Amino acid sequence: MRFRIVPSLLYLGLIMIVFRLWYWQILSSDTLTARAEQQRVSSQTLLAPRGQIYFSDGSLLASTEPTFLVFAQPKLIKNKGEVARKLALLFWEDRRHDELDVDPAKKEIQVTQQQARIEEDINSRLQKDLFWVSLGIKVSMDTKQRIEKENFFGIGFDTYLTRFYPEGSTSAHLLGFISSDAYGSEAGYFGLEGFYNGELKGKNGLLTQDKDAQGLPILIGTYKIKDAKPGKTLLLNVDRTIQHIVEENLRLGKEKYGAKSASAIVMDPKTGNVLALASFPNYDPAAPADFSKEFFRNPITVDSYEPGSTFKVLVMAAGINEDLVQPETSCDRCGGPLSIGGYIIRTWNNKYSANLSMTDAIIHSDNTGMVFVAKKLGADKLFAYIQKFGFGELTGIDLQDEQTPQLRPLPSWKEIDLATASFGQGISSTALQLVRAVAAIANNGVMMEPHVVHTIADGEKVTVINPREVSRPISEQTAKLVTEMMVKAVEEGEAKFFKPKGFKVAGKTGTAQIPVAGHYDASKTIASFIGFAPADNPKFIMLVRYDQPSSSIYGAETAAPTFFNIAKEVFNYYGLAPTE
Amino acid sequence: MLTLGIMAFLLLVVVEIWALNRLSTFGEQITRFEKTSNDLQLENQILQNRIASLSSLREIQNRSLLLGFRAVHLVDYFKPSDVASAK
Repeated sequence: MRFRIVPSLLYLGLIMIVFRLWYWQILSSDTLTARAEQQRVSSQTLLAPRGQIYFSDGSLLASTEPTFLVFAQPKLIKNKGEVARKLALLFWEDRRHDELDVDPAKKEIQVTQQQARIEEDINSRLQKDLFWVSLGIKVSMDTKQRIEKENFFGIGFDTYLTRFYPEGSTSAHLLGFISSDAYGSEAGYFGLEGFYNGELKGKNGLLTQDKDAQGLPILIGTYKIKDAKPGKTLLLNVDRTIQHIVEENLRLGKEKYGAKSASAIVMDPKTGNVLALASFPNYDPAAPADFSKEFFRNPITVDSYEPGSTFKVLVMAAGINEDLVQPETSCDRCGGPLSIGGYIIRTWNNKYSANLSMTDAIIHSDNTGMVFVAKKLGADKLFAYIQKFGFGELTGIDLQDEQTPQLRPLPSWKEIDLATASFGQGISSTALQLVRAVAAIANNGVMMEPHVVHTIADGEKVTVINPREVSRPISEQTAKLVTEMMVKAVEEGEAKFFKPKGFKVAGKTGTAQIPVAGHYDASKTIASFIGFAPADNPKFIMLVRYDQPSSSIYGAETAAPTFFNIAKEVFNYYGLAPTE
Repeated sequence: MLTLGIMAFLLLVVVEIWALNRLSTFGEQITRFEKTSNDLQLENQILQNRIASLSSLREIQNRSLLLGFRAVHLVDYFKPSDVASAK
């Protein structure tokens, strides 16, 4: 009997072992393998830096800076009070302290209070019954190294790559900014960061490897690496020096003329390359959360306004191109105000000249002379030229936030609309659209697409963005004639005192009233000046615009001086000698 | 000959065990090297940024003003007739 029981038990045991092995190795194989890998294999994200942005001279405009998130594992920390006290000192030194009092005694009290607040905050986080708490973000490398020297147990760091702007808060509207999208991922908004987000953002990599119980890599184990792919690099057409000149003069001009806002754009009319673009008030792209949303809008590409007299050169170009008027054509109905559709059209200074020439109409910015041209053109042709010059359509600039005001449909145009459009009222445009259109005059009648980026580099692969011709709204001959009229407008017009001696500059002032609740407020204007130089072989075209200047409502007394101040510095920078 | 072969085989086994053991304990060193390399790359980036900041036009403008430099507003250009020439 015993001889039977023992072998039976042995067989049963053997069957149980086989069954258990079958359970582990067949049934639970996947689960156990996964659990083993979870314990052994460690995955680490390899951060891909966002692409760098360079000015045309190769100097940095936007880069990435490593910053750190300091975290704690409260359950591992014993002397929490001591850790909090030491960290508070280091954190305080890492932060900006612009608000401190100049009085040393008061300053000391402030410092003590601030450090106490930080210490209290850290301490309260460490007291939480959690495995992981964040203690600070955007901590610098220097502070991180100082914390490491303290050898705190249970304190660690996560690396983050944040945007860094060597030139400070300049070029905000050009750049845009970085923020989190709906999924918490980093994304570019507005300007270049928004338009080229796909190119600039990199692709994170992944490192998978076996680790031992202490978290150290096992060299003979699994090692899989998928390299991080950094974002592409942008080389801009924007010239750092011209950008600086424009920003400095515009900032000073806005203060001097008491304007609500100011903007300027400088472009190469031959290529459409944007050389500078600035607007005030602006924001800090490194801290966009400190500003309200209205600051993010780029006034040059988004804000529509009535261009006023700066538009006259385009209407005149249309008239000359259609061979309906010539520079010396005299206006036989410009001796006084014009009555059209129940409205009275006057000149800006209420002075009139019988037999006014077309050149004089541009020089003195005479509204009646422009109405004369518009009537010769008729609504159909004027509307066609407005479209040819690109109004009512996007310019195609490589900045994310471009918008365009729609043109009023031609069938709804009345006689008064034709008249007011001739001097740039009742018609809307963005500053960029106007610059692109007038640049066609500077470029022998050829209109180019404005572009901010020159080259996109992806490691060894380099893509150059070549200048692109959009259309030829006017002939070369027309462009030359209008250029000469604009040169005379600068030499003999209201802004002649500001013109630098010896340089041939073509330009036109603009003072457009702002429509308010169905009528125009005479005290609120947009003062502007558009011009290009040297007139015979333009190196740049520039538009300066002040919104509601308070020192004077006229473009000739506000935007024009700023235009010529910038132009003088650009002449020096380009080494352009006077020719007259 | 067979004995020699067995001895060689055993030697190889011993060498492999020794190599595996030695490599397995290199994890700490590798981690240290990786951290140093990573820190150096980050510091390099920070230093490049610092160079860019110090050579920014705003910084140069501020420093040059402190040193007494002023912007050039008036530039005289020589005309051909102003230059003496020998025939």
